[in-house]
Amino acid sequence: MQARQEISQKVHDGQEPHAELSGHLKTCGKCRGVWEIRQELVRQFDAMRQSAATHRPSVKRRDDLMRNFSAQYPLTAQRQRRPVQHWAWALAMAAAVLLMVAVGSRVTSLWNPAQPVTMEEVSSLAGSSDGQEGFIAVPYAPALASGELMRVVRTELYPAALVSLGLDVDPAWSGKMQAELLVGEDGYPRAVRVSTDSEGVF
Amino acid sequence: MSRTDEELFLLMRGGDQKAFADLYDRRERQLYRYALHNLGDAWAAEEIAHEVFVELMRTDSRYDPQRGPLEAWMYGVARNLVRMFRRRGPVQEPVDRAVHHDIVGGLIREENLVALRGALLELPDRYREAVVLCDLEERNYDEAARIMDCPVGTVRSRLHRARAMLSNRLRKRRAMEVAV
Repeated sequence: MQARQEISQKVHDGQEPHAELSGHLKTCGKCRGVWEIRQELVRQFDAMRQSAATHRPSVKRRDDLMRNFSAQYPLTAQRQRRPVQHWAWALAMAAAVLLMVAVGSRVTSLWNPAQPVTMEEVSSLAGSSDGQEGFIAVPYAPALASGELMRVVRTELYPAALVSLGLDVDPAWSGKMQAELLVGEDGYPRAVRVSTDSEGVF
Repeated sequence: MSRTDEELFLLMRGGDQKAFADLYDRRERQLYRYALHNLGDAWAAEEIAHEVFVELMRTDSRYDPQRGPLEAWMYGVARNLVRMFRRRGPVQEPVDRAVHHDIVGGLIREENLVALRGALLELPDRYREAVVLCDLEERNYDEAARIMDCPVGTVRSRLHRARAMLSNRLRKRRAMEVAV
C-alpha cells in the first residue's frame, strides 16, 4: 500500500522511481500495473492541457464587454479619453486657423476687439434704413441681450444672401458686393452695411 | 511591477477600463479552461468565462476585497455557473458554432483521451475540481486550496482520491480492450 502511494506521488510529480522502488516494480506485477496506469494518466493530462491551451479569447466578446463597461462607467470613460480629446481639440483649432487664413482673402476682418459694438450702438447705427452709418437692420432678427457684444464681419455677398435675410434687393443687380455684417454672439447677423462702391442695391 | 487582481479591481471600480481589460486578459483563459475541463464543452466554457466578467462589472457585484482574493471569487462564480450548466444537462449550442463546438474532443481525437474526459466529467464536483486545478491547470496545493476555499489537506486527499478513481477507470478500460 505504501509503495502504491509512493508510486502515485512520484508519477504525478514527474519523478523517476528510485533504485529500491525500481527493483520492487520489476518483481511486483500489481505495483507495476499501478505505475503504468498512472503514467498513462499523466500523459493524458498533458494532452488535455495542450489542447485546452489552444483557446484564444473571442475578440468580439472582449469588445462587447469593453463597450458595456464604457456604457456602465461613462463619466470615467470620458475622463480617460480626455488626453485624446485635447489632441483632437488642438488639431481642430489648428485646422480652423488654417481655414481662416485661407478664407482671409474674402473675409478681411472677422473681429475687431478694439471696437466692440453694443446693442445700443447697433440700434443707433441701424435705426433707420438710410442711417448715417449706412447699416440696415435685418428684419425679424432675434433680439439681443442687454450688453451683448457684436462683431463686424466684412465679406462679399450675393444678392440672394441679402434676400434670405429679408432685405429688399434690386432685381437688376446680379454681381457680388462688399458688405459688412454686424453679428451677434449667437452668430446671427443683426445689421448689414453695403460698401459704397457697390451699386444697384437699395 | 504588475498590479494585483485586487488593485485592478479597485481601479476598475473607479471606472478605469484599462484595469478591467488587464484583468480580463489575465484571467479569461484560466476561467475558460476551468469551465471547459469541468463541462467538456467549449461553447459553454466561453459563456461562463464571459459571464464571470459581466458579474464582476455589475455595480452591485458582491465581491468584497476585504473578504478574500478576487481570483477565488471569480472561480467561485465560474463554479456556480458550471453547476448550473451541469444541472441543465447537455448544452444546446447555437447552430453557427457547430464547427468549433468541442475543442477537446475535436483536436485530440484519441480514444483514450475522450474516455478520460468522460471519466473526469463523471467524477463528483469536489474531486473533479481538484484534478482540474492541480493536474490540468498545474496549480500548487496552496493556490488550489484558496480557490476551492478549503484546507490544503483536503485538496491533497481529494486529489489522491480523484486520481485513484480515474486510474481505476483506465485500468478497467484497458482490461476490456485486452478481453476483446
